[in-house]
Amino acid sequence: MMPQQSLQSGELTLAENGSESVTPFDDIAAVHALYEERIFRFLLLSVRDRDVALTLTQDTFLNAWRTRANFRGECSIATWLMYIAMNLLRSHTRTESFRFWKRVGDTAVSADDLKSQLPHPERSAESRLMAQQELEQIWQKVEKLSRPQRAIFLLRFVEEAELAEIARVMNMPVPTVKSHLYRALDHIRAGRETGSRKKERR
Amino acid sequence: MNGNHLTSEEMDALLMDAEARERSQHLRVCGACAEEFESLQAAVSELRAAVIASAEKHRRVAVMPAPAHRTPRAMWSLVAAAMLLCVAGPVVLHHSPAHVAVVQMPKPEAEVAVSEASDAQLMSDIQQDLSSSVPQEMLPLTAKDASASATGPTSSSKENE
Repeated sequence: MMPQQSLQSGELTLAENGSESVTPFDDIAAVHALYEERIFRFLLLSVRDRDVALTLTQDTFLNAWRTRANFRGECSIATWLMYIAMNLLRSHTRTESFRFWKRVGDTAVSADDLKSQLPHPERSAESRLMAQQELEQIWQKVEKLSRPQRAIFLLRFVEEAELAEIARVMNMPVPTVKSHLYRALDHIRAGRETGSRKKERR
Repeated sequence: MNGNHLTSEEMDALLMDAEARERSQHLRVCGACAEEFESLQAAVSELRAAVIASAEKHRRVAVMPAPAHRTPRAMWSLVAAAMLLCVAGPVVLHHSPAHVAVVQMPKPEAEVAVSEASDAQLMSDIQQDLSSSVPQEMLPLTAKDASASATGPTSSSKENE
C-alpha cells in the first residue's frame, strides 16, 4: 500500500464530511485548473508531440472523473493523475509506436527551445553560452534514455516527485525506480564529463 | 566513499534524496565534493526551469492557438472573396440582357391589353350588327330605297300626269 502523501498548500483536500462517495475529483474543474499544467508537461516530455499530449491530458482528467469512486486518498491527487496519465501513455505508445517516433521533433520540446528558456538572462554572455551548451548536452542525453528511465528521471527531477510516488506511478517497486534513476544519472553524468573534457581541450 | 571523496553512486544518491543530502557530513567538510555536487545540482535545476518554461510555452500554443494565425486566415478569406468576385462579376455582366428582358416583360402585357380592347370592340361591333335589323353594310342601300319610296309617288304621279 502506498503511504499517504501530504498535500501541498493550494492543493485540494479530501472532504471531511465522512461521506466516502465524495472525492476531490467531483470538482473536476478545480482539479483540472490545478494539475493540468503538470500533467501536460509530463505527457509532452514523454510523448514528444504537443497535440497528442493535449489529447492525453484531456483523457487523463476524463478518466480521473470517471474512476473517481476508486480514489481512496491513499496517494496524492497528483500521483493518481500521473498514474492515469502513465497508463494512457503506455496504451498510446503501444498502439502508435511508429507514429510516435515519426513525430518526434516536430512539436516536441527541443534543445533549442530549452536554450532560449534558460533562466538568469542577466549573466555574462560567456557564462550563458557555457550554460546553454551544458543544457543541450544534458537534454540530448535525456532524449536518449530508455522510456522508463526517461519517465522516472523527469518525474524525479522535473516534477520533483518522491521515489515512493514514482514507484506508484510507474507501477514498480522503489528499488527498481532507484536502479533506473541511477542508470539515468550515470548516463547523463557521462555526457556531462565528455562535454567538460571537450571544453578543457579547447 | 572513494578515498576521501564521494563516489558517483553516492553523489547520485544525494541528488535523489534531499534528506540524505541534509544528513551528509561529507559535503560540509569536503569542498571538492561540495563543488561538484552543487554543479550537478545547478545543472539539473536549470534543466528543470528551462523544461517547465518550454512546456508552458507549448501548452499555451496547444490550448489557445496564437492570434497570429488568424491574420493569414482573414487575408486568405479576403483573397478568396476577391477571386470569387472576379469570376462571378463577368458572368453576371454577361447575363445582364436577361435582366433587361425581364424588365421589358410588361410591354407584351400592354400589347395583350390593346389587342383585348380591340377584340372587345370588334365583338361589340359584331353584336351591334347582329342586333340591328339591317346589316351595317346594307344601310346605304336601305337609305336609297327609303328616299326612293319617299319621292317615288310624286314622280310616278308626274309620269301619270
